Amino acid sequence: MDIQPTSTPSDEPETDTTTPAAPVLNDVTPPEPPTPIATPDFPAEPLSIPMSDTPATDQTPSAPPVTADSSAASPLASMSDPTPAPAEPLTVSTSPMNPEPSPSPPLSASSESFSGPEPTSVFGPQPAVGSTDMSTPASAPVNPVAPVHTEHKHSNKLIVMVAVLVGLVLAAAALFIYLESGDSAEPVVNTVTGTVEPEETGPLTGDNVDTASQSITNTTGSLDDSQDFSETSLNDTTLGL
Amino acid sequence: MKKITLFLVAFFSTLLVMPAVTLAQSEASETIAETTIQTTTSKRADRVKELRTNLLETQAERVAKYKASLAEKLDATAAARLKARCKAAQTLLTAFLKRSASLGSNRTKAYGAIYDKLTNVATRLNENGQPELASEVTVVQARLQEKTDAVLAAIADWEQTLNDAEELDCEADPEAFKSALEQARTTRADVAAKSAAARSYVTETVVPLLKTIKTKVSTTE
Repeated sequence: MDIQPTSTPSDEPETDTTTPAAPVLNDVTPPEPPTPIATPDFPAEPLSIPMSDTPATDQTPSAPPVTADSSAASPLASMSDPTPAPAEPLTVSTSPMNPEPSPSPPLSASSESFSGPEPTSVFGPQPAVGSTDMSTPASAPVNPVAPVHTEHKHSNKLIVMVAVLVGLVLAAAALFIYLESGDSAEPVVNTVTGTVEPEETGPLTGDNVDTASQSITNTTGSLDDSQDFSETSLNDTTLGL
Repeated sequence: MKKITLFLVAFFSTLLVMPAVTLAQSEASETIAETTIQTTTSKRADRVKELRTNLLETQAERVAKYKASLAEKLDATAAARLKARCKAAQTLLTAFLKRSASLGSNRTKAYGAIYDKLTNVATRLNENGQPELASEVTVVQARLQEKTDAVLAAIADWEQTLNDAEELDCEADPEAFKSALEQARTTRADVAAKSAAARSYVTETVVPLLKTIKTKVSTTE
């Protein structure tokens, strides 16, 4: 921020002149459309238009919010270099993690668009500067950051909801299988007791033999040949032949 | 966030494992309960398979056999009549097969129960020091098993023939359908006769023998 005096002659007149001269320059540079997206509802359109010039010089997508905060920083950003912009944000992104070791404000300005909370701390002492350039002093940097957070939260909520739903489905499936196995257990037991009754051990008594005889008679009586092998089941009349 | 993710992964993996564990437990209990049945049933199934007469592998071979056994060849009028009505008959056969799907397994279980009862009686007679009575039971048991195995083999042949009659392209080959149907009728009569023979053997031989044994055991108590 202290390096403000260093600026290109072409940028200074643009920032200083909020007069109609600036729109002429804006018309020359095509990438202005992004700037109205950041602040669509603000009435001070002429102010936002000259600000869009600096992003044009920066040639970075995150430039509009940066210029919105500090007009002095925007020329610095343009001064620093349009080309090294991609390399510098990496170094800056590490520097904001530290409290205040970053002496280079333009670099931090470019990183603000990526990290939400930290840039506010960096630019906290300069609300007035941002207000001079931009019609919206603090809302401009907040708007681009807030959607990112909400999307993140939304995606997290969505993941949690889907996970919970899947868990409920799996729990229901487990319960169903458990109940199903419980239901199927009874017939199995019945068939087992029907075929292999609990083995009686020990000395054989007359009652045991009588019980076995009665069981065999009952089993044989349960087989209905007339129904199982009915002669009429396959005759021409039954089959419609 | 990582902790939540780890917790969710652990939770869902547990849920995924639960059904498998439940199934494994139920299957294990069923396996233990049916071990005795399966061992005896598998041996019985082998014997029944030996008794079957309709074990040709391919349907074409079986159909050729059915046709060879067909007493009267179809004339043109009968063939045309059969072509017009055989599809509906096959639908009825399908329903009949569904109704009698468990017939063989039910018979197997019932005969197995009788077999096991007799085995238990013979074993305990030996433990009682009455091997003569035990051997009588064993002989009767073996005769009964021959009869019941014959019934089960006939049932398997019957179901095979019915399946063939149901699956054949009766409109293309009405004679094959007719011959398979005739074979199914013949096999049904065979099943009924063998089943009646096994039943009569139980009522006329097995049960009286057990009454005799009861008397003898009661006198020696």
